[in-house]
Amino acid sequence: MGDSNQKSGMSRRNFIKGLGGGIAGATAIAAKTGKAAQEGPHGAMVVGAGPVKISLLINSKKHELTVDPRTTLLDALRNDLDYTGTKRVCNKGQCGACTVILNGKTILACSMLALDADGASVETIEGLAQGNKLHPLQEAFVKHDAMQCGFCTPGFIMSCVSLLRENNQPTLDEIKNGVAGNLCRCGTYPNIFKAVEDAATTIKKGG
Amino acid sequence: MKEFQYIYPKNSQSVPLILGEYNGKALLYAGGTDALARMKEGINRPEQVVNLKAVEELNYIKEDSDGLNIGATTPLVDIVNSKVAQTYGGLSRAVETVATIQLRNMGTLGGNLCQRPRCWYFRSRHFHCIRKGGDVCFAVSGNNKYHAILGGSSCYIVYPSDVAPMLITLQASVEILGPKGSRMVPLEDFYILPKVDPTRENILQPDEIVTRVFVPKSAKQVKSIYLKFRERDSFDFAMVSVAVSAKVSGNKLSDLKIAMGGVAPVPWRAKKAKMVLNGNTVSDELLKKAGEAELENAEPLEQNEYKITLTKNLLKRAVGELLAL
Repeated sequence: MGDSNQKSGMSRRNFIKGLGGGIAGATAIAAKTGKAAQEGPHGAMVVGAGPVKISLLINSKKHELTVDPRTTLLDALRNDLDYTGTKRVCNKGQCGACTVILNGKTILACSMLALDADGASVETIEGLAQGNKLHPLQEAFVKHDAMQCGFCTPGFIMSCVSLLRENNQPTLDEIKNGVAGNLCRCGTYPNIFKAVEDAATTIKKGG
Repeated sequence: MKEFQYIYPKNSQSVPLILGEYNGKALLYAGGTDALARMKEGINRPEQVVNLKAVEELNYIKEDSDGLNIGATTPLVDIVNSKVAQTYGGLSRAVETVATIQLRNMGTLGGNLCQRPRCWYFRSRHFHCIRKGGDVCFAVSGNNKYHAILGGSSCYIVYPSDVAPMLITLQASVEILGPKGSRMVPLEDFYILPKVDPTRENILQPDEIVTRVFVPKSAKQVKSIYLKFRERDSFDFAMVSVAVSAKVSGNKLSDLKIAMGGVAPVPWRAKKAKMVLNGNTVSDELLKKAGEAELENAEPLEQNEYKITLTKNLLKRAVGELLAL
């Protein structure tokens, strides 16, 4: 994964740790690392404008990277770290194609700043398969032909992973509710619902 | 998007001072589900963004002897799942109708109550409408299917929050923190009509923030419900929504409160409908009268006359469901 183009910067958490030692400590860290972190008005901490160093735990693998504060989590995943399974479609929080699981909850990566995910655990579609063995939901999506163009599929699957973790025997209505934030313009919903029901059975059996 | 500094305040007290430092030009940012979209579109081009999530003391749900207190940066999902919040009438259920799971995991209560309108002219950088400091409301002669039928004047936005109408009927108030301290304001008095100021939706000054929502215990003594009609049922803003709370005895309603979403630039208190219904035995005839009374002065635009019928019907259905609770 391409986290080689690091520029100097400092992570927000390190900065906060610095704050623990008082503003003087923080200033010292800021002075050492250049422009990224500064003391702001009324005791605030300021990062940017310009590159800021953050870290993300993606599918249990730690990545350190430098982002501009304007970067969304989605663009950091796709452009900086090559996790291109997470799709950019509407880029305005309306379609769910960029759904990832952040600290155990589904969120829209297009609608979150990468800075806000600093230090968080992120699960993406790439983390589901174990080697060549697909996740039961991925198996079920293939078996039930739960896609046409496939562009919405990673987002749907992440929503369904989260749904089945919270409720391993969802009713049809609960499945519909679980994917209400994901849009499939090909209209494969009936097959998606079947796939989720099937995967729920497989997972329950311990498959 | 313009380059910005991301600012992590050390506590809530410092936030109004920080906002004042930048002459109200810094953008207040929490869940980001609204603010980031506006920044991407170029409607807001801040050079400083203040990350309210950094103030951890604003994220809580706590009940005391007077009622329920919810911190402004509490994620919506926490209110849906909170056992305590679930005992405050229809509150948790109303929050559950907001957007989608992903957005409720990200969005905060304060953000929901202070979100900017969804009017497509407001949301487009290509239209310098009156709400953005221009001279015109493009909805008046443009595409106005989703716009206001009540309370519009210089601007015809509708207020999009699902939570505000429910909270208003439960007599909630908001705590507003400014540089000189905090004050409580009934949520009903928080929102302002375009005739007062078409460039903002609420009474907040540029250096003020909402820190807390308070719902009095009386919310537990009434029945309450929130009905939301969406064009796309799985995920949409309300075309029209109705929140109702009342004491119910047989078919009689007392202490009735009705607030409606999707019809006006503010959560609309249906006071005329209340006058007809409150204290009387509810019948189809009376519900019809109530709807007609409330909508008699409605001023639909070219494409949204349907909202008059929809509002009347939804009011009828909401009262019916309240009686059946």
